[in-house]
Amino acid sequence: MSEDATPQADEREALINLAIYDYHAAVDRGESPDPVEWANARPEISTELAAYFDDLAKLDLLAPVMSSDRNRARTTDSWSPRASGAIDPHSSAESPRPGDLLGDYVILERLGEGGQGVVWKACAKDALEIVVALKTLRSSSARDPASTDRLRADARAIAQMRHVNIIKIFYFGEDRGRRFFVMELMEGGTVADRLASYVNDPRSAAILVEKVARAVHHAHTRNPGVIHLDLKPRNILLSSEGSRRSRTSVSR
Amino acid sequence: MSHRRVPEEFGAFRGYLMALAVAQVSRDLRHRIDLSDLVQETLYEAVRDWTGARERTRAETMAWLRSLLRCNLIDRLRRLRLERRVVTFDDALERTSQGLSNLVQSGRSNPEARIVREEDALALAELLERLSPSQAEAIVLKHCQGMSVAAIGRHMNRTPEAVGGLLRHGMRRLRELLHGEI
Repeated sequence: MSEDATPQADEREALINLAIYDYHAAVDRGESPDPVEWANARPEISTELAAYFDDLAKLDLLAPVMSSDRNRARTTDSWSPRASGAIDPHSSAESPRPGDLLGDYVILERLGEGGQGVVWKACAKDALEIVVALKTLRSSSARDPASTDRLRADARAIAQMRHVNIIKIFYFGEDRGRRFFVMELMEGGTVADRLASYVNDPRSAAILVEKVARAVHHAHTRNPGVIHLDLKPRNILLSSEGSRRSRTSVSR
Repeated sequence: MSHRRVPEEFGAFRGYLMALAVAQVSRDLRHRIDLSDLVQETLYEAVRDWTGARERTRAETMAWLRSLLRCNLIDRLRRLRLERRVVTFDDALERTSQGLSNLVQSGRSNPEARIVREEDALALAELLERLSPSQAEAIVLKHCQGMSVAAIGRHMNRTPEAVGGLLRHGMRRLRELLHGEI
């Protein structure tokens, strides 16, 4: 890479690159190395390491030194319930966590996520046996007006449908700047989780596809101009008894 | 496939689809799955089926292109009898795309401009095309896909030292480009 490609320069280059790999490997293992200490512990290449960490910091890619690691949480889905039971009212961008209140619902666990939304299992705070699925926007899109419009449009489109194999929507609301809607919970997981079981059972697969096709036809008929752009195994939900509903991911 | 012509306006999506594709197909499969061919075929189908889709927003077009890319990738994997890989990337294209948008958003110095827009993924993909392909791939895998460096080494068939170098030099170049463009 460098112009003075002497053996010493090559060796130095290798040392820097390996130190950078080791830093990321430590973060990958769940450690929280301090970039300043990391650079200072290697005085012969500390300038180059500091420059790299500065590049990362400028793009907000540096893993925090404290144990709560924001970048990792974004990519590994792992988080722990926080001590307080409510979302910080000043930050609608903060992601909800299990135990948080959203409107009249208590977030229980994360079920999955799509391009912009996250789906949670939740229960009514005053009637815990009422368990539902609750869809919010990802933190990154929560303040984006176009995304909130799309969430509302999704909810409206679902509300237009009356079909045994299409999820029912119960409520659309907002809490401290975060919009969400509440729908029927399907506890049987997604078709993607059970693909293997269909491999040697073409009859069940055909029955499944027929139900999906009829549901999609209904959706397209009830909402002219709205089409399901993302029909895939992960978006077809199963009830605990095994009947299928399509998670509506609609778009005009 | 390369003889098929794709109109100019679709060229903007080429780098985007390529950034998504490299993150899904490891180097050991690249001699069996030609990625530029895969992207070209996806764009060709998009142009062919474009009638009736003109009303879509750019973000919706991107979602549609991702679904075409996914189907084509699944087809190729099936032909190679690698179906087992099919399920694993079900949401990976969306995740990578979201990661591309997030990275642009993080690079903005003005906090008020820090709203993630799906279209930002296109802007980043365009900048990534100005890096060496290997640097761009390492950055997409690490910072958009959230892959561990060990997994990147396997995906790209590179030594730890090489992975560190690609991330380092790629990041420097990307920061310069982002600084100048957004």
